[in-house]
Amino acid sequence: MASEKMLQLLNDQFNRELYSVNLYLSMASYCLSEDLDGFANFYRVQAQEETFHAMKQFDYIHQVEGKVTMQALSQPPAEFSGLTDLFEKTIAHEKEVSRSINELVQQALSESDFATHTFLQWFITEQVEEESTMHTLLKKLKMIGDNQSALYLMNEELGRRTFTAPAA
Amino acid sequence: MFQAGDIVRELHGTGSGTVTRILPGNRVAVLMDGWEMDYALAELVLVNRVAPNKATELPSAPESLGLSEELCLGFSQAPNSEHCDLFVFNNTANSVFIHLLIQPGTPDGRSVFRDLIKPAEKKRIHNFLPPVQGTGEAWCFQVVVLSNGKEEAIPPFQITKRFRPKDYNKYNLPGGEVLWYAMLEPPVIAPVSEQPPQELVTLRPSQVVDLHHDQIIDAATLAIMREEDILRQQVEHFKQQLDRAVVAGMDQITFIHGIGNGTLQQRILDFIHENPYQPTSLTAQPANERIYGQGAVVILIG
Repeated sequence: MASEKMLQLLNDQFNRELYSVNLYLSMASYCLSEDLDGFANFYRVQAQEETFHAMKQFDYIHQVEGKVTMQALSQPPAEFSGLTDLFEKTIAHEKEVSRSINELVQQALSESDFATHTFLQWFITEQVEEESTMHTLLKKLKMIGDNQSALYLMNEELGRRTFTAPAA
Repeated sequence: MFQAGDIVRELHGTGSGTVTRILPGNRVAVLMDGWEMDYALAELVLVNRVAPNKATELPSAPESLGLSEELCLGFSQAPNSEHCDLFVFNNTANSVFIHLLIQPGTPDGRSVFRDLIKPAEKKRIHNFLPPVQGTGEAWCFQVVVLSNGKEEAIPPFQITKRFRPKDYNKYNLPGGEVLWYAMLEPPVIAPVSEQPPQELVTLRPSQVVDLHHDQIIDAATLAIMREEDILRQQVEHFKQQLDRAVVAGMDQITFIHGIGNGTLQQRILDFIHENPYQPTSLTAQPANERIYGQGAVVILIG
């Protein structure tokens, strides 16, 4: 049984992950409106990953005898000034998620809640991967610059991404 | 060897600040994040040497600038130059002690100027990186009024002026140089007290912390953050700054919370009411309305 404070923080994190789903769907929609179906596919898959994260937390909260409280979701941004802006905002968001996961870990350690601490290790690893992926894509975008042919190829590459549930 | 005004940073740390005084025994006083601290020379490295004061070279302010009765801050930028010079015009009848902080209360905050300016005196401080238009970078001017060379028993008068084009007037100087300038409201002069004036050292440092989200969160992060998380970070920043003030033994600290739906202000007041620092007392009272409107609170630390 996790503490009330720990459950509150886990519940906040669960709702934060749901916000991520909306944010990435908003980004996917922006990409489609710009005729970049591959980038849109990338963000749709990203939204599926965030749903997976949320459900993993949903299950854990119940495993430790808590209860999920759904919160009102803030409206994510709908307009972006281009792909670079899109990926910069994605990185900023992932960093924010990493920061909040780290806060959860700190709380778990301060309470000697080793079960939650162990549960959160998966998310720490996942966040390192998420940030790394986004940084790599942003670097590629900057490398491409105004080269439309290269952008076409990157769009094709991202269009091949499919969702596979990460190993638990 | 350092000299007053030099910008320095810690050799084995991340702090940076401005040298304010040379102390005996190969030590210097450095103003860092609003605090004056004592360092050995070997602990510091020079970042930027401030050019010698060339106040006498400064041309008189043109009458059309309307600087006759004001305390005025401005900065000029030569064509094709990345840097600018800061001007301080004191056209009040009092000496003023000016402390210029850029982006106070943020990780990038730094103190860049701290000096006495006599009546009718103008100073020019060279080689600044100018604020970027539209970014809302805060330039905070801490002003202490002096009268007859002795400090009045009044708290430091602080003004935060963000660089927004509409807040500054533009004047073209000869040679293509552009001067941006802004008036500061004349400081309120307290009546001369019959009692002996307080010693300068009795004035302990105070601080103004702007809790507006654009002052503590970068623009890219802010654009994608949930409202709840923005509020959470504002509250965390408030707690960190208050903690620093209590630990440093400050008398008071001012927080600019702005005027929104009142949630941040309420969270601040709730925290003050709970007061985890007992037996040290914390008292919240509205800040000077003339300066901050209704969007700030002063925390008195007892």
